[in-house]
Amino acid sequence: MGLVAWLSLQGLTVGLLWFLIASGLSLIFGLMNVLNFAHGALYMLGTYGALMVYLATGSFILALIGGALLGAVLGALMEMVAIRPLYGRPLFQVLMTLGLILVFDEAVEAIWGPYPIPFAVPAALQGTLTVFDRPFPIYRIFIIVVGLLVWAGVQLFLSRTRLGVIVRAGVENREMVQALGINIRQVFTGVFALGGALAALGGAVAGPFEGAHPALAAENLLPAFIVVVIGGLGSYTGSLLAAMLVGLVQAFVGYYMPELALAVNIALMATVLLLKPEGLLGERRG
Amino acid sequence: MALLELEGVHTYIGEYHILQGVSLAVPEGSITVLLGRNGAGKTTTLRTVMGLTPARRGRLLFQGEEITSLPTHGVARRGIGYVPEDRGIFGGLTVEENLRVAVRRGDLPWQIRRRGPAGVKEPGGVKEPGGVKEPGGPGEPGGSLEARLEWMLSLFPDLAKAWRRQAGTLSGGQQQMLAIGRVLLSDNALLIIDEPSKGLAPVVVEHLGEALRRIVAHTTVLLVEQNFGLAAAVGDGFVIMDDGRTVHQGAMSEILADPSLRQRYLGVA
Repeated sequence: MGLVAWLSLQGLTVGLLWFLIASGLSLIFGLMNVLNFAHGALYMLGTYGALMVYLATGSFILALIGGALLGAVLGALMEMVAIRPLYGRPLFQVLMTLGLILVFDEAVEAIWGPYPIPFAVPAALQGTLTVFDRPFPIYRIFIIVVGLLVWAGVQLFLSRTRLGVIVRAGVENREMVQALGINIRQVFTGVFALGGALAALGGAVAGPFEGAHPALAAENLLPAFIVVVIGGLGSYTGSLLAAMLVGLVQAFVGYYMPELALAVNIALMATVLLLKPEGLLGERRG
Repeated sequence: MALLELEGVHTYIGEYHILQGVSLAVPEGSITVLLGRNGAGKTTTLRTVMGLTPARRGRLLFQGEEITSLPTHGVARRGIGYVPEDRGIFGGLTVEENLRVAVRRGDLPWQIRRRGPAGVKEPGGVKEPGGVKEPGGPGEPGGSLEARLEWMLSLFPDLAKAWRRQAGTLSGGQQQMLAIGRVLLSDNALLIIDEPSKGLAPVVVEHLGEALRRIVAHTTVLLVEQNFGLAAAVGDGFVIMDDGRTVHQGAMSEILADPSLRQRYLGVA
């Protein structure tokens, strides 16, 4: 019983980090039909950006804000410069975002070098709790709390504000949103900025947990895509449920058979694709 | 003066030359019905006006200004409301949220969102029976958003009852009311409505016809309609399309008096 609870907390930690990447990926795909392979790079840049702010100011809160802002700016720029000329040309978009991965990876290596940089856990969040006789770092609890707060905040935005309602309407029927007088291009840029901010905040929060290193982008992209597919493309709440599921599979299978954890998650994704191709909470697309 | 004019419009979808010379004029303050067989190009004509399938040649004028190459949202902001053939309802959103997307300037006031449409009547006191104040006429600013909402709900009371329901769960007729009601909330000078009667029961069609007659007291309407009974009942003028071209335009009384015209282009006697 104790082990189950402990592993569940482990699973929620990684699951919520993946949720922060996957939710943006999912919204971007749902609204614009763009598969943004460079989204993992925004997560990685969130880590580095937060680390720089943390080293410069000593404030962890400023570090998280700085990381998220960097992601928002880079996300918006990515849409305006790289993606905008390529709407309606999916193959070119894939090539473009794959190319952007290389650009970001090389840039990070050029600036910060190929080796991991340690990212200290802030003093207030150091220490461990004892969960059923097993040590569990307080910082991981912090990750879970931040993940859930972000989920709730974005959920409120999507359900209560007019802009959020427009985003949901656009996921259903882009053409009609335009025909009602809304400049969907501006909404696209905004959603890229939001997705970038969420991924980079994920990277920033994960910093003290994983350190800053260039492999962060690649390591987290595949699980995030698995989450998006299982949750349903364009479904925000679906991303949360799927992220928790994938995180728990990762923790439990990883505990007993570490080498099989990713394989089991991929098998889970394949099963969902076969049985319910639109994902757990996705809308069937006509 | 014509509110909307199309002059020699040609539209391609991919390589297909769909509109091959569409010229028509929609007079202000009337209902003009676009008639023609399936595949004649009626829906494409409406989509071309909205910039969804842009014209490759020819000109489109709205209120005397050229809108030929405006993006879709720009056309809508000039004051054209569009109700597509599939109604374009956001099925996963509530009735209220569908309306919220359509409010072009600002947002539905929060007290309406909190209390539902009952909030419309406050703080103005008791509404006199049967006395919903109608918004301004065509070309006028058309009153406040609250007034428009109240007027729209008096046309389609079902929407007030279904305020917080998911639009996808509404009946076909209610979805059509929502699609039309949505474009009544903004200050539109022209409504473009594609086959509102499609798939609806006769009694619902009759209700829609009455609503359209009330709407045209304030707003000009361009209608595509296969149901000739409804077209004849609500239309002031008509335009016939055949093979991607406009072939005849006139007053509704003309086509009612000329069975051969109906026979030739519409296949109805």
